[in-house]
Amino acid sequence: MSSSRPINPRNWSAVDMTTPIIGEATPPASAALLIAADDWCVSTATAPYAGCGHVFDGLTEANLSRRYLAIMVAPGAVHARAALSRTYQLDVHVTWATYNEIFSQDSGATAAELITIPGQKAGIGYTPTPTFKFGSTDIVLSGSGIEDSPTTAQDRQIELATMAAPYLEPMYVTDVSGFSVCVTDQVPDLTTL
Amino acid sequence: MAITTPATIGIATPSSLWLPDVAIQPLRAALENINYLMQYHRPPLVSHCYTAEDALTRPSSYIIPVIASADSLRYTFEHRFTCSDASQSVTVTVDETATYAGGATTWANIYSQAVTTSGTPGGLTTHTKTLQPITSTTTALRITYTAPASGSRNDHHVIAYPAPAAPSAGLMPSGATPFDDGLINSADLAAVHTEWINRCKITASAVLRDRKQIALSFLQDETSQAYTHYLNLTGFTPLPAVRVWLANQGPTVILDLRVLASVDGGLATDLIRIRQLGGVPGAVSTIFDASGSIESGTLALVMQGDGLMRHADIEIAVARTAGNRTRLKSVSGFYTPGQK
Repeated sequence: MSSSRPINPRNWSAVDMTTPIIGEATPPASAALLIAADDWCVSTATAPYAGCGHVFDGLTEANLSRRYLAIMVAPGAVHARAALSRTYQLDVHVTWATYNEIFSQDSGATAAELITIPGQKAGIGYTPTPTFKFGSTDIVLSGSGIEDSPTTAQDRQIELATMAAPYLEPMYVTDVSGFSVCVTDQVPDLTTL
Repeated sequence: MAITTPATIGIATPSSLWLPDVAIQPLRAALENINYLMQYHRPPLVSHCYTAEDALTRPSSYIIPVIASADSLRYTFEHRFTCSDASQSVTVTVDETATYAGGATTWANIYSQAVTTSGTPGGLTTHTKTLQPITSTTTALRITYTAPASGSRNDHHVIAYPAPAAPSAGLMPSGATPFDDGLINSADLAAVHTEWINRCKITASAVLRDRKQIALSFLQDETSQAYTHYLNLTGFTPLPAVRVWLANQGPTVILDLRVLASVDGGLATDLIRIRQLGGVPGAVSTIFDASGSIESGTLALVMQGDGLMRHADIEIAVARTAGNRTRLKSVSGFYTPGQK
């Protein structure tokens, strides 16, 4: 019997949420009952919370381009990726920032903590447009590579503080009109928390 | 007897579950995890980024539709905003109401506090207020920020997440029941009974379903929205689409939507559309009125992707009648695990 314990990912849509584990008054003692009871609590605690899709105007004015926010992280999360909504309008040649940036409190080495996501803005001919304006929209993901101790700012996964209790992760993101964060991997062995 | 609440989730090793001694553990640890969930399961009820004018020199008031916990839980509020001048006093007020009726709403104050902003001009001010109860009948919160005495203010984000007290004895309105170790610790070594086994699932499920998880959000000032239609068209004008993540869920998931919008004139019917994008077979739209009241509806999402990265892309769009304006003030989309 292994001593490690992985997270049991639950699809709440596919399970009966209301029926008791056991309906008998005096069932035979069974390890399966104990495992089921224990797992309901642990899998509930470690299930990632909904990755909220925030819609907002972060493009109209320079003072709004950097958006401060915070996300709540459920226990056991290790890394995350962000989905950035960006809008553009065909325009005269305009020079704009080359990257979208994400900063999170727990991500990366102090000297290179920024995550930089290259985008269409590197080119010319497109102007970011705020909400309520027609334009093309794309949703891009921050990087998939894991580099928790970068020496330079780069596009990579967001490092989270892996804990046995929920915590709040302060962040900021630049030049977007929508933002959400997805936990992408969890601790392989819960007994290490 | 004691209701012990661990501050972190207790993890039993698989071997301890397969070969339990004739002892109070590991069942007691599993039962204490019930108490942990009741106090520390913290999906945000509110997570909204403000859409407002740049450099506000006036007060701002935002209305956020919510689906409150049946247990009238305490919440922690965390606000983020900046001021162009250092060390300004900004008063943050949070109110609640059971019935939103525009200017005729009766608001009950949750808290009001003067906050000294960052000592750096333009620096981020983070204001955290703990232990603030939201009544179970609440359907909307109002967040108000006063103007700084000098300079201007930019509003960024507000989040509110459950932070209840340690559980006390008794069945909660949500259906959750804490665990008291009196019986399991008794000298008579009471038998392990089915209610303890079942309580782990029933309470975990009750906590999961009672604490709605904000999954989609948009928020503008209640009375002075800066943003409305860019072009003089009457069709739906979309806001940028956004991705909503619901790890491991599907194939379909229901979101409970709450929408607050109004019109300057003309008909108010069928002016707000929320739909899933991406050409997904089976994806649907839900249409709301811009009635000036909080409108309710649901949106069935056909989840895309796999595992932790299950997602749906959602678009909010606003229409208007000729010569009039539609003002979208807020959208809240709530996820309830297991809702079918």
